[in-house]
Amino acid sequence: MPKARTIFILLSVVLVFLIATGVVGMTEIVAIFDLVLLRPMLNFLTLLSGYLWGSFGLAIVILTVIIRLVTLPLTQRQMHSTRAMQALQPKIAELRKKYAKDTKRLNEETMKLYKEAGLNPYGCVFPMLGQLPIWIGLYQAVIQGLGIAPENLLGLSKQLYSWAPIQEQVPLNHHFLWLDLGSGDIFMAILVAASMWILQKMSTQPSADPTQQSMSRIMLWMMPLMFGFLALSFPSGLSLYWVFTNFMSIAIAYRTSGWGSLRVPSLSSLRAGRILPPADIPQGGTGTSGGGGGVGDIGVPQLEGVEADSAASGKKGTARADVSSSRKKVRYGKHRDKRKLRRRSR
Amino acid sequence: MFDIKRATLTKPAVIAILLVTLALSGCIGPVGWPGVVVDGDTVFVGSMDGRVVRLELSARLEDKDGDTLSKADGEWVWEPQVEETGSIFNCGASGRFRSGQLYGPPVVGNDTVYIGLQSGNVYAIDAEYGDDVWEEPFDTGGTITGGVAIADDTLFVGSSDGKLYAVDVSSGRAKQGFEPYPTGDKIVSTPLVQDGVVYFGSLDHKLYAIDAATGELKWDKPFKTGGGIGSTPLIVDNVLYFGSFDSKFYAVYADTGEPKWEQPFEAGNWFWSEALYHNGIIYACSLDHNVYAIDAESGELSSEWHTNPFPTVGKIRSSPAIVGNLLIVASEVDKEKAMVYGIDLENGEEKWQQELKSSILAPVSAGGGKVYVNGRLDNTVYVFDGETGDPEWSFSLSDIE
Repeated sequence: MPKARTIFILLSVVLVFLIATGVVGMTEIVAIFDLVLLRPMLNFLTLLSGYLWGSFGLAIVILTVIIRLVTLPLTQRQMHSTRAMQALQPKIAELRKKYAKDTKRLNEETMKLYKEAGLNPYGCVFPMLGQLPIWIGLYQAVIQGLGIAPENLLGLSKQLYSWAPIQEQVPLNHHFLWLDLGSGDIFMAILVAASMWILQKMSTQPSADPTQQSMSRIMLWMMPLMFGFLALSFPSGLSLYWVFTNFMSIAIAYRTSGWGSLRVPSLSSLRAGRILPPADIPQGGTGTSGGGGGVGDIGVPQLEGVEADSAASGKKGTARADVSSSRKKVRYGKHRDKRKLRRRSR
Repeated sequence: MFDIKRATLTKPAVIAILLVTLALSGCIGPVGWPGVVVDGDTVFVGSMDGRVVRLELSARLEDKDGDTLSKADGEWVWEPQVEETGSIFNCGASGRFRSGQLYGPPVVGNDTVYIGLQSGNVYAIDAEYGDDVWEEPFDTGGTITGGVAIADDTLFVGSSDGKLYAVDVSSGRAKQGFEPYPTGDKIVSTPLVQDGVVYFGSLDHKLYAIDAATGELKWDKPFKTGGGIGSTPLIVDNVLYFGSFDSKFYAVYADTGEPKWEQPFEAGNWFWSEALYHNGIIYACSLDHNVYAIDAESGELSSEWHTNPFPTVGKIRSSPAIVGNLLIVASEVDKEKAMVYGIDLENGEEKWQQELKSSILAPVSAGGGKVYVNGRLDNTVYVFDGETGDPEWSFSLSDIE
C-alpha cells in the first residue's frame, strides 16, 4: 500500500508540474477524466439500465453497490488506520498535558510518536483523494445521464459509445418508484440526512478533548443537514446514489466495529450511573472516524484517520503493539465477544 | 514542520473542499440556445438572458462599430415575467433555475412574435411594439426546448411533458377540439405543419403525423427509429427527411409513414438539426462534426460532393441555411469557440470560414444575402455577408438597456 501511495504522490507531482508548465491545460485534464472515468461509468450505467428493464434508478443502485465493493479494501484500510491512530490518543493526551505550555515541543513529540508508530497524520488524505475522482465520475454520470437540461442531453452525444444497445437507451428513463430522478424529492432528502446522521453517529468516538467534542457535535449535525439540503436541490437520482452509499457504509461500519456510538447503553450501566464507551473502541479517540465511503466518506470517516504505514511496512516501534492490538480488536473484537458469550451460555 | 493544530484543521478544510468540488462538478444547468429570425428589414432575436429583442437592420447598419448600444427607433426589448427559482448552487434539477431560458428561435406570423420558454410558457408579442398580445401566456405544463410552428390560426408546440399542444393564436388558449397529443417521452423538436398535418418527433424514438384540426394520428402507427428524434423533419415532394439520435438519417413517405430508402443513411453520431434540400440533394449536419450531402432518391452520399462529407472542427447542432449557392454551417468546438463555414453547394468545397469566440447551437438564419448567428457565450448577434463571409456587424444583447 505505501507503494500505491508513492505512485499516487508521484503522479500528482507530475500532474502539477505539467499544469504549472502549461504542457497540460484544464481542457486536457477534463478530457482525460472523461475518457478514463466518466465515459466508462456513464456507458456502463446506460447499458446496465437496458438490462434492468430500462430502469436508470436501478442501474444507479447497482453501480453504487459495485463501486462500493470495488473500493472496499481501500475503505477498510482507512478505517483500520483510523482505529490504529486512535490507539495512540491516550499517549497524545499525555503529551498534551505534559507540554501544555510548549506548543513547539508538543508538536515535535507528537510527530515523534507518530513516526515511531509508523503513522502519518496526513496520510489519510491520499487514499481519500484517490477515491474522489471515482465519486465525481459517478456523480457526473448521473447528472449527465439524466439529461436534465438540453445541454446535458447534447453532452450525452459526446459521452456515449456508438454501440446500438447503449444508444437505444437514450433518453434514459428518469422515473424510479415514486421518484422523478431529475427533480429533488423531500423524502429522499430526509433519507439522505437520516442515513448520514446514523453513519456519523456510528463513527463518532468519545473524546476527552472539549475541542474535539464540539467538532464532533458540529460534524454530526452539519453534514447530514448540508447533504439533506443539497438533496432537496439536486436531482433525486443523486440522492438515490447518496442513500445507497450511506447504507453500504453503515453496513461496513457495522461489520467492522458494530454500532459504535449509536449503541444504546446497557441497563446495568445506566443503573450504575455510567455509560461505558464501546468495548472495541480505544479510549480518548479524536472525534469521528471509520464509516468509510461515499457521502459518509467525505463527511467523516477517513479524514480523521491516519494512514498506518506500519501495517504494511512491518516496522517495529514503541506504539506498534498498541496499534496492532487495537486493529485486531476492531476486526475481531465484536465476534470474539459473541463467541465468549456463547461458550458461557453452554 | 508538523503542527498538531494544523492536522486537526485538515479535516474540516478537506471536507469543505470535497463538498464544493462535488457540488460544482455537476453544475450543468439549462443555459439556452436562442435563435434569430429575419423578417424583411427586421430581426427578432432571443437573448441568453431570456429576452426577445427587435432590431432594425437600417439602424444597425448605421452603427456598424457598435458605438451606440441603446435602442434605435422601432427597436424594443421584451422581457417575460419569469420565476427566480435557483438554489445556491444553481445547478441540478430543472425548475430550480431562472425559468426564462430560451431554446427555440422566435417565430413571426400575423404581425406577432411567438416564443416558447424553458418555463413551459408560450408568449405572443406584438411585432411592432413589443407588447404582450395574450392576457396570459399559454402554459404547456413542461419545458419547451424546440420552437413553435404556426399554421393559419393555430400554433403548435411540443413540451417536455411529452405532449404536442395546439393553441389558438388569437386567444392564447388551447384550441377547441384538439386534445394535446401524448407521446412516450419529451418533445424537444420544432413541429412541421404541412397541408393540415403536423409532423413531429419525440424522444420516445418515434415520428408522428397527426391531423392539425383533430389531433388524430394520420398513419397506421408512428414511424419508429432507433433513437430519440430531436430534429424538425424536412418535407420535399411528399417525403419527410429527418435524423435521429441513433445516428441515422431517414426518408419516410409523408402520406403513409413508410420508409423510402432501403437503408437509412448512417453517420458517426446523432442528428439534431434540420436538413436542407437543394437540387435533389439533402444536406444534413451531424454531431459527428460532418456535413453530409445525401442523394434524396437513393439515400447515399452524393457524387456531387465526390461521396465525401464536409468535415468541420466541432459538433453541428445548428440547422444550416442556404445563401445563394452556398450552404452556411455553424460548428461548435467548445463553449468558447465556433466556426461558421460557407460551403459550395455544387462541389462541397469551402468558400469561406469565420471563427467566433463563442459557441453556436441555435439555427443559422439568412435573409437579404446576410447570415445571422447568435453567440451563446458573449450573447451577441453576428452578421456576415453570405457570399464572402466578411463580418458586417455584431450586436451585444447584454449591453442594451
